[in-house]
Amino acid sequence: MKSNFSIILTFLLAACNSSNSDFQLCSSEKYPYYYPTLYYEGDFYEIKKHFYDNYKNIQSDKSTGIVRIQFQVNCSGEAGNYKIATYSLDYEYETINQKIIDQLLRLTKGLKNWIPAIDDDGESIDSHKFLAFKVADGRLIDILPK
Amino acid sequence: MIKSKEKKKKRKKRILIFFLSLFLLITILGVIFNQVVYMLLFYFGYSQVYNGNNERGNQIMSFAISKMENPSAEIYHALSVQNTKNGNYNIAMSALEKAYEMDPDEAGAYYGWVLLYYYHDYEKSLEILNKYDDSTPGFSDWPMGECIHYLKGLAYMQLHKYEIAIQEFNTSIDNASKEHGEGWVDYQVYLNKGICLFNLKMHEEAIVVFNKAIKSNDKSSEAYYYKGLALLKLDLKDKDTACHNLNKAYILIKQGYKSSDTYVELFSEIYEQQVEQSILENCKN
Repeated sequence: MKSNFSIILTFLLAACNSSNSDFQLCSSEKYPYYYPTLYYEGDFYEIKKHFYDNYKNIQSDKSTGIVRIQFQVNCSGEAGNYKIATYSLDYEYETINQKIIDQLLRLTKGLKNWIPAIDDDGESIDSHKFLAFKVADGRLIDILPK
Repeated sequence: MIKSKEKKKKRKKRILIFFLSLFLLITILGVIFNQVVYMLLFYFGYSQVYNGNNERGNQIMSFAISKMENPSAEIYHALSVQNTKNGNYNIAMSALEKAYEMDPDEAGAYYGWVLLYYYHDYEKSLEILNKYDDSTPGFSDWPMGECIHYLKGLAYMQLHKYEIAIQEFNTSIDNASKEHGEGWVDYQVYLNKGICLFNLKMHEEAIVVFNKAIKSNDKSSEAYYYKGLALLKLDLKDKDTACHNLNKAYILIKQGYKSSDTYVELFSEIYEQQVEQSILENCKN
């Protein structure tokens, strides 16, 4: 009986939504990030160029690991609702130097040329995406997944 | 007026009865078929993460798993897939480790493959792929529909161990040729073997292999691009041919002939800007 109440409670929790700041999604409907596809002007080439050209190495403690940034892009191509997690290279939660995180977040927010995904009816829709940055000794060594 | 009030009362009563019945039904079903309910709940959470509601979806899936009597390797595998696709690496990897412990044969194929393409964790990918390959001696496996020797070749290539990578690509080519004929060898295997030769500065050999890639797929912008770069390294007399290949690559990309994947960047993926840059640097009159 207790577990059934837990199930109902879980469903109720599922009905709640969370968002932040001034960023607004166009609809409450969501799609998986890969279909319909969200594009960036100039493709992943420009995303990589943006980070590798502008990232400054930071020599400090806790400067090796993965910084993952999830975000949403609305139907107008504006990005927001950034969520950060940091991992070790063994994929466990690990603290990474805040300056590295701040720099990568600032650069991610600097990606301004998102091309919103288009649904089967030809309408621009909201999308979600993530970028994961591998950092070794404060150097940016890889960007995943694309 | 009184009639209308009574009507409203009756409607409220009916709605109340409906929800109480629904609650009762869920409770009864939950008691009788609780494992089925937890399974349904798990896949409800799965669909939440699929649509980017990560925290909520993972809370639901984690709750459902905690209530399952014997969560299977498949369940942990599914939990891992959705979290990999959304960058929740800690959840994805710990779930995949569990699936791998429970069913190494089934989960091993995906594990080695996903470490290669989605995590760029080449050392660990090779460790898992080698174990998987060794478990079926004398048989060439195809994890996730790709030749295991091709996958191992890619991992070695990314680690800059080009000689070993070439050996793996050769095994992949030999196996496919023996089984179905040379025409069945995927052009991507030739392409990546050619890139390894190029990186070893074996430009003439690389060109031979890029030609095989082009024979297998004459719309491969990547093969023309790398062939063009290899020709540039050979001799200035070949500059025109090199530029012809680079231009061919550029035209093909403009026409949409470019290898790519929905989720990840391919290791030999090229971009329009990159080809354009090579043409500007090398083919100015």
